[in-house]
Amino acid sequence: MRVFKACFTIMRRHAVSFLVYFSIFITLSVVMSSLSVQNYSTDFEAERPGFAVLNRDKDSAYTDGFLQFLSGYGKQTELKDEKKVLQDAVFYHEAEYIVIIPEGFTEQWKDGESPKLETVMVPDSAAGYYLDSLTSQYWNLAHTYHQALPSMGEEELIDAVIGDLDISAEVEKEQFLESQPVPLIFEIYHRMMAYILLILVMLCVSTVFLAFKRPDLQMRDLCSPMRPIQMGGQIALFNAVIAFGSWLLLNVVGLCFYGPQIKAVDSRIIGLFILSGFVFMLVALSISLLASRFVKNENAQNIVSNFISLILCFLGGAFVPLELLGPGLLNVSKFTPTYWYIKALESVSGLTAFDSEALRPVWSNLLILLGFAVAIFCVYLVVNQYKNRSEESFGSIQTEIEA
Amino acid sequence: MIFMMWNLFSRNLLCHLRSKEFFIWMLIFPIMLATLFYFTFSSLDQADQLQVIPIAVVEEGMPEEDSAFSDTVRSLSEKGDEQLFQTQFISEEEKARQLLKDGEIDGYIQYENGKPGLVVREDGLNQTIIKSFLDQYLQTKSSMENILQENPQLAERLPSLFSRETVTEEISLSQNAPTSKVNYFYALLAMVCMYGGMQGLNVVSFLQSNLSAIGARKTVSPAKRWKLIFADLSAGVTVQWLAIILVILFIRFILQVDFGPQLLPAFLTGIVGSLTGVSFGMLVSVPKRLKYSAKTALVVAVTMVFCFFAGLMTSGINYLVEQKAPVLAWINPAARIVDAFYCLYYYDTYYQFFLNIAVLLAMSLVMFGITIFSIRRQRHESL
Repeated sequence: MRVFKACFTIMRRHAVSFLVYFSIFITLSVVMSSLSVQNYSTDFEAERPGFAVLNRDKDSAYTDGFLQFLSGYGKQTELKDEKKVLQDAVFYHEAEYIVIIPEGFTEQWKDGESPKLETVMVPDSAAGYYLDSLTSQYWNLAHTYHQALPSMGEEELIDAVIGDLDISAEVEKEQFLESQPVPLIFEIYHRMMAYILLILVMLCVSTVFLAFKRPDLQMRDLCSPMRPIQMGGQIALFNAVIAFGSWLLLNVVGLCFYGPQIKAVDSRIIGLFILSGFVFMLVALSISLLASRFVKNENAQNIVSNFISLILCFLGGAFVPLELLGPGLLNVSKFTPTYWYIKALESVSGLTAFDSEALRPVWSNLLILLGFAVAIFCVYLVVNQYKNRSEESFGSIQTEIEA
Repeated sequence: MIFMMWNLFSRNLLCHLRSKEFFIWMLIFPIMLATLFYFTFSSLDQADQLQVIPIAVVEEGMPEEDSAFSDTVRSLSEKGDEQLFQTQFISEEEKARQLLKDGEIDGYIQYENGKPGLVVREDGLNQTIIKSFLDQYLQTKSSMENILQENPQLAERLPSLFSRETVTEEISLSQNAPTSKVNYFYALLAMVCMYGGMQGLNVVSFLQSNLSAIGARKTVSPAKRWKLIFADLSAGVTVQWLAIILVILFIRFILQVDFGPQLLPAFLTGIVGSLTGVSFGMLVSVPKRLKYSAKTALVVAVTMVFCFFAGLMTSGINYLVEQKAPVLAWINPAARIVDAFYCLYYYDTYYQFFLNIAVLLAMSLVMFGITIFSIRRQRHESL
C-alpha cells in the first residue's frame, strides 16, 4: 500500500491547507445553518418584526387604536419623519414596515372618501406583507363599523374592532410520529452540508491528483513494477477515505452542535439524514474525481471547486428553497444531484411512519442520487482512460511554484 | 525611471492577460454565476402566483346554520384565477387525518365547540395561508354578529358594508424601489473583487526569493523593491479592474440589473474593491513559513466566509450581522463592497457610498502597509 501511504505523505505536506479548509468550512457550515433558519421559518408572527408609524395627521382614537393594534403583532421603532432616517431604517432592516398616515387622512376616511396610507416595506419581507395585511384589516373593519354604527363612540368602536381582530383560529399540530419533528436548523445544516462537502472533497482530492500527475512523477511511476490499475486503486481508496472522513467530521460536528435539539427526534430519522449525507458524499467523490482530471494547477483547483459547488447548490435548492424556483428552472434542477439530495432530506423530515409505503419516496430519491454517483464515476473512468493515453497527458500538469 | 516602471508594468500586465486561469476566474466564472442568478431570481418573481392549496373540510360536527363557511370555502375552491383551495368535503375526521398523514392535504378544518379549527402536520407557507383565511372568516363573522346585534335592520346592507378596499399604497423612498435580488449580484461582484487576492498572493510570491525562482531573479535585479512591488501591484489591480468592469457591463446591460443612475461610481467601487482584494492577498502572503498552497487555501476559504456574511448564499445575512455584530459587518470588506453598490442603487445622495469607499480604502492602506513593513529589506544569505 505504498501509494496509499504516499498519499498521506502528500496530505502531511499540505497539512496546513487541509487544516484551513476543514476548520473554516466546517465553522461556516454551522454558522450558515444558524443564520439561515429565519429565511426558512414561516413563524414570522412569533418574531415580532420591527415597524414604525409616522402620523402626519392629528392624533385621534382611530390612529391611537391602530398603533395599539399593530404593537400587539410587532415591535414599534420610533423614527424621525425625515427621508434619510426612513431610508436608513429600511436599508438596515431596522423597521421592516413603515406606515405614513398622511395629513387629513382620518377626516377624509370618516367622510367616506378613499384616502390611502403610504407604506414602505423591506423588499421581499414576509413580515412586512403580514403587517400590511393587518393594517388593511384594521382600517377596513373600522370603516365597516363606522358606516354601520355611526352613533357608536370612537373609543367603543376601536375596542370592538380590536376585539374582533384579536379572534384567531385554533391550530392543532398533529404529530404522527411519537417523537418530535426534526428541528429546522438541523435540516438546514444538512442542506448546507451539500456545499461544504462538495467543496472540501473537491479541494482535497484534486490536491492529491495534482501531486501524482506531475510529469516527472508520472513518468517514474510508469516505470515502476506496480501496475497502473493498482496505483489508481490505492489513490482512489485514499480519496474515498478523505471523502468519508469529511462526511464523518461534518456529521460529528452537526450532532455535537444540535444534539440537544434532536434528542427527542426518532433515531431512525436521524439515521436517514446521515445516510442521505453518506450517499451524497459518494456523489461528491465522483464529481471530485472527474473534476480533478481537468485541474492543472492550484488556481484552477479553486476555480473548479468553487464553480461546481456554487452552481450545483444554487440550482439544486441548497441555498434557495426549491418551492421558490420556477417550473422551468426546476426542470433543469432535476438534472443536478443536489436536487435529489434536498428532496431526500425533505422526504425524510416529512416522514409520518416507517412502513415501506412511507419510506418509498426516501429510497427512490436516494437511489436516484446513487445513480448519479455511479454515472459520474463511469464518466470519470472513461475520461481518465482517454487522458492517460493522450499524448498531452505528461505535459498537462504545471509544476508548483516551490519544489 | 518612467520607462523602467512602464516596462515592468506592461510585462506584468501581459503575463496576467495571457493567463487562461485569469479569464476563467475573473470573467467566465462570474458571468456564468450572474446568469444563473438571473434565471433563478427571475423565477422568484413568478413565485408570487399562489399555488392552489389542497385542504379538507370535515363536515362532522359542522352546525347546520353555519352554511356560510362551507359556501365560502366552495367559492374559493372554484376553478379559475381566484381559486385558492382544492377542497375535499369529508364526513369523518379519521379520513381527513389519514389524508394529512399521507401528505395529500396541507391541513384540514374541523368544527370544535361551534368554531372551525385547523389541523396541520407542519409549519409552512400554505398552512399560514389557511390559518389566515380562517382568522379572517372568524373575525368577519364576529363583526357581522356585533353589528346585527346593535342594528338588525342592517342585514341587507352587510355585503356592501364588508366590501374590502385597498387601504395602503406602497411607495418608494428612493428613485429605485428596494429589492433583495440585486444584493446577490452585488455579492457576486464582491467575490470577484476579493478573489483579486490571488493576484496579490502572486505579487508577493513572485517577489520573494525563497518562494519562487522568479522571485530570486527579481531580488538580485538592480530594480528597487518598491518599484517592483508598485509595478506588480498596479498590473494586478489594473487587470482585476478590467475584469470587474466587463462583469459590471454584462450584468448591467445584458442581465438588466440596476446599479443606480450612473455607472462611473460603480466602476469606482470596482477599482477600490479590487484594490482591497489584491491587498488582502498580499497580506495573506506575508507569513514566510506558510507554503503557497496554504496561502491559497486561506485566500479562498476566508473570501468565501466574507462573501457568505455579505449575503452571497443567503439573502439578508449581511443585515443580520449588522444588527447583531456591527463591528464584524464594518470590517468585512465584501460587505462594504456590497453596501457601496447598494448605496448607489438605493440612496439619492452619495454620503453612504463614499463612507463605504473610505472604509475600503482605509482597509487597503492598512493591509498594504503591513505587507510593505513585513517584506521590506528581506535578504537571504543563501537559499
